[in-house]
Parts: sequence; C-alpha cells; structure tokens
Amino acid sequence: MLKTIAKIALCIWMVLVINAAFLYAPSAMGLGDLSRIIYFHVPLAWVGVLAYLVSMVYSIRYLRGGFAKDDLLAAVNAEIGFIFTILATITGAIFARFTWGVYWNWDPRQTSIFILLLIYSAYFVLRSSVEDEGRRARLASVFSIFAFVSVPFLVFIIPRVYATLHPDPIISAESGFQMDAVMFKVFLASLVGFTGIYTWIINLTSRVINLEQNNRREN
Amino acid sequence: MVKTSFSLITAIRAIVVKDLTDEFRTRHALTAMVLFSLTTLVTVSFTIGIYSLDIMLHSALIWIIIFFSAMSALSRSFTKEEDSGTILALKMSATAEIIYLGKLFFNTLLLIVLIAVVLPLYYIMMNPPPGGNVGLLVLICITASLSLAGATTLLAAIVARAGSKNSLLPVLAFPVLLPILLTAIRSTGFALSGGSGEEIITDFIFLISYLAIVVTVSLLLIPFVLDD
Amino acid sequence: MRIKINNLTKKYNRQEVFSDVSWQPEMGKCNLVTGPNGSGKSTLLRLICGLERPTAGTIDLTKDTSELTAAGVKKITGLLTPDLALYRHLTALENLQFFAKLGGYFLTTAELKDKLAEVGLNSSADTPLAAFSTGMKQRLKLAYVILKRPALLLLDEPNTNLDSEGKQVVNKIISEYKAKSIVILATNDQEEVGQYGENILFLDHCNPGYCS
Repeated sequence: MLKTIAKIALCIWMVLVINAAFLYAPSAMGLGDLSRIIYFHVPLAWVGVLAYLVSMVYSIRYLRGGFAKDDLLAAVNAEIGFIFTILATITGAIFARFTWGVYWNWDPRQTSIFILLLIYSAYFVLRSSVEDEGRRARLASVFSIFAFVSVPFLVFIIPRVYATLHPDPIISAESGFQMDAVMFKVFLASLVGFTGIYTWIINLTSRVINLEQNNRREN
Repeated sequence: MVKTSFSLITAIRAIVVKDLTDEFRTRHALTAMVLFSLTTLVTVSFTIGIYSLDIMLHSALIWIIIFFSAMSALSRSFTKEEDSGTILALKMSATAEIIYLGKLFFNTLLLIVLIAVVLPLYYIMMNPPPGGNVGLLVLICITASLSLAGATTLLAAIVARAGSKNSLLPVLAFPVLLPILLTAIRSTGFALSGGSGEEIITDFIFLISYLAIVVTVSLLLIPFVLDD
Repeated sequence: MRIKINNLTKKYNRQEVFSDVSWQPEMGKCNLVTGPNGSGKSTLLRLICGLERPTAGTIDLTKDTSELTAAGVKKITGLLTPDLALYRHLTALENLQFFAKLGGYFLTTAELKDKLAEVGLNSSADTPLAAFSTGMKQRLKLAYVILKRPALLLLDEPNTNLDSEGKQVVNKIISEYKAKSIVILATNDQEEVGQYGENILFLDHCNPGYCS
C-alpha cells in the first residue's frame, strides 16, 4: 500500500518538477532559457555518479562476504548508472552546442564525464570476458573499486587545474551559492525527483534479482 | 621445515631478478615495445617529412607512442605466468602482495628502458624544435612512467586472471590512466618549450600522489585478484 | 599437524564437482584420494591448500594447536599437480634458487645441487627447462615440492611421465614424508591405490560431461 502511494507521489512530483522547470522557474540572466537544462542535466549526472558509488559499495561488500547477490546488485547499479550518465552526457552536449557552439570540445568537465562512461564500459567488457561466476564477480569488484580511485582526480582536480567553460555554481565553496531562490527550489526538487526514480528502478531490479536467486536455490 | 630467514626485500628482488633474467633470455616484452615504438615513429616521421609540428603535437605523439608500447609490454608480466602455468608455483611460494611488488618494480624498469629508447629516437626522427629543457623532460617522463606502471600492474593481473585476452588491458587501463596521460602531455609540452621546473610543480605533485594512492589501493586489492 | 575436512562441497557455476565430503587425513599413513576422471581429486587438493575456496563446508587445519590461515597453509604446503609448471627459460638450479629465495630458505647452492641429485637431475643442473623432457620436468617438480620440507605434501598424479627410476624417487619421498608430515596422494591408477593407499577417500560423484 505504502509502495503504491510512493509510486504515485513520485509520478506527480516529477510532473510538477518538469512543469516547474519550463514554466515556473525564471530564466537565468545571461544564459536565458538555456539554463533550464540545469534541472535535468545536473540531476542525471548526479545520479550517474551516485549509482557508481552504490555499485562500488556493493562491490566492497561482495569482496568481504562473497555473497553473489552483492555482485549482482553492483552490476545492476552500474547498468543504471551507465544509462543516467549517457543521458547526462547528451543533455550536456546539447547545452554545449547552444552556448558554446559545438557539441563537444573536450572541456575538462566533458572529459570527466567521458571518462566515467569509459569506466562503466570497461566494467561491462570485463564482466563479459570472464565465464566463471565467482571469478567474474571478484575481478569486476576489484576493477570497480580501483577505477573509483581515479574518479576524484577527474571530477575535482582536473577542472580546478585546467580552466573550464563549464558553469560551476554549486560545488566550489569560494564562489558561494549564487542561484536565484526559485531556481534553487526547482533544482532541488528535480534532484530529489531523479534520485527517487533511481531508487525506484533499483528497488524493482533488486526484487527481480531476489526472485531469481530464490528460484535458483530451489532448483 | 627448513630453517627460514624470510626477507621481504629478498623475495621481491628475487621476483624482479627472475623476470629480468627471463626477459634477457627471451626479449619478448622488449621486442614488442621497441618494434611498436619504432614502427610508429617511422610512420609518423616519414609522413611528416620536413614539416615542423606544434609543440603540443610533439608532446601528444611522444605519449601516444609510450602509452601503446607500454600496453603491449606491461600485460605480459602476469599473462606469461598464467599462460605457462607458473603462477601456481608462484602463488604457493609468495603472498599476493609480494608478487605484486615484484611485478611492479619489473614493470617500472621496463618502462624506464622504453623511455630510454623512445626519447632519443624521437629527437632524432621527429626534430622537435630546439630549446627544450631536456633534463626536465626526462624527469617528467620517469615520474609519469612510475605512475603508469603503478596503475597498470594491478590491471595486468586482472587481465591475466580474466583469460589473458590481450585487447582487454587498453580497455581497462585507458580511463584509469587518462589523468596521468593528460598531465604528462601538458607538462611535457611545457618542458619541450623550455619551461623551468617550478611552474609545473603541481603536475609533479599530482603524478606522485596519484602513484601513491594507486599503489596503496593495488596492494589492498591484489589478494582478491590472485586468489580464488 | 592435523587436518579435518567437514562436509565439503564445491561447485563451479552451479555445476557440482563433489558434495558433502568428509575425511580425516593422518600423519603416519599415506592418505589417498581416488575416483574416476572429473570426480574432483585435483579440486580437493587445491581446496586443502587454500588455492580455492569451497562452496560449502570447512577444512580445519591446525599445526601445534593453532589454526592455520590461508597464507600459513601455503607456507607449509608442497603442492605438485600436472598443471603446475616451472620456469622454462631458467635452468633447473636457477628455478630452485628462485623458490628458495622467495621462501627465505637457508639453502646453499651445494645443498640445492644435492636436492637435484636426489631426484636424479644432477647432470642437468645448468640446463634450461625448455630442453627438458617431460619426465625430467616431473623430476624437477619433485625436487621443488620437497624444497621446504613441507608439513603438508600434496601429490596429484606424481608418477605421470616417470620411468621406473623416477617412480622409485616418488616412492622414497612418500615413505620418507608420511612419518613426519601429512601426505595426500591423488591418483586414478589402481596399482598406485593398491601400493600406497592406507587411508583412502573415494570420490564417486561423477560430473556429466567430464566422465570418461
């Protein structure tokens, strides 16, 4: 019962968010209507990285406990994170085309998300090259953790060291927070909404995994 | 049991010496590295001819050559043990961490040899503009290679355990190595234009901290890769 | 040194190799594992020395009243299997020197040469393994496996490729070690079962697809 309410609530929430993104939130100064992409692009990128983190946590759990379920959850989170990251890249490229003129110019932030895509792809390639389930789980988990080590360098250090054209209103502490109050509300709402969608998808897939595991155990 | 005096250094050195002896007698990795770099250099040099290139292009080319030559040689450290079946005896005689450290040092030596071959050849065949800070260039190359070796040794072990599919290493390594590559290319360009060391101190710090983190994480993870 | 195998099961990708195996190998006897091809003899040996983990069940290894960790087991074990290989481009002596250095054993070159003489390879000490016949390689593996005078000696098909002299070396090693170490032999040769088997484990679950 609670689940159904939550699902409907999420649905209504997202409808409101999308409407607000286009109609309620004001146009930014300078960027104009193009700024509306922030309500989609950033939450997508955020979920993309969050999913990788969750996947990595499951990988660590697998290495400690050896339960196949942890590895399956790690893989599933990676798949979903991959899709969200692709969407983030596409929305980012669209923004780039309309603000800077080209879809892709190897701006440091673009490079960072590209590398995240590469890490995801490498993870899937590795998984598909190992046949033994135990070994596949172990090697994939190790790679996921190891690759994560390079992510902080990419996401935070490279854009700091190299000048970037990418708008940077949120993470840097020095510039302070400069978003208009209304925009900020819609932005947060969108963040919550997309995280909700991600959680819902994960919940569905992990229930499927549980069913498959139970089925397997019975046979 | 036989009387033992176990020494970490002796064990690691034994692995490095064994791999060096093996390499010296077969020259597999060396040949692969040198042939690759030579082929690439000759192709590019021949095509470019007398045209002079932008400094950053030189820098990028140097690192493309080093990166791909390294890929062909670095995966061998573990795949040759898996393919010949010697990994079993190795695992029974040494812990995963010792095996990793031995292979790490060996890979580092291999890369230093690669640089010693590639850099002079590059200067001869590609004629980068004069005025470059050669000492700084060598220092950058060595530091970046240490980071490269640090990052790829664990991945090489993963590739070997995954069935030694040769094309797997570049796929796994590229995203992890990109920060090193980008930093190396940038600072090499700087050195080639004659810059001094102080200005790229941040790059050195970056490379060395990357190396430290990557080796620490590798040491923690290697038992999971080698043990079943 | 004591080993107790409790309800051991091993599966690869849901394909069962053996299940619910319990056994107690002892010092003073030659312990022997036998069964048809694919019944899991080699797998059992690998599980005992910690190279692989069981799907279910436990193996308790205690030495001098303390339980051994995975690394500890490997330190005191000498494992000889058909898939174990030594370094082709090193000489016989260099191979033994390498493993002696790795384990930190105090063995001089003269002592190593003695070990080679024990297995009948004294004249090939400086020949690279690539030039060895399969029988000679097997003999070197015998020298390697007793290098550390292991408290746990696992021999998987030790007589493969050996001539009658080689088989005598194996015989000597087994009788020498069973008194002070736990010796476990794996074989499907009925003659060897008769000759050596004093505490026999028979694995009879046959894996479809692997059975002859």
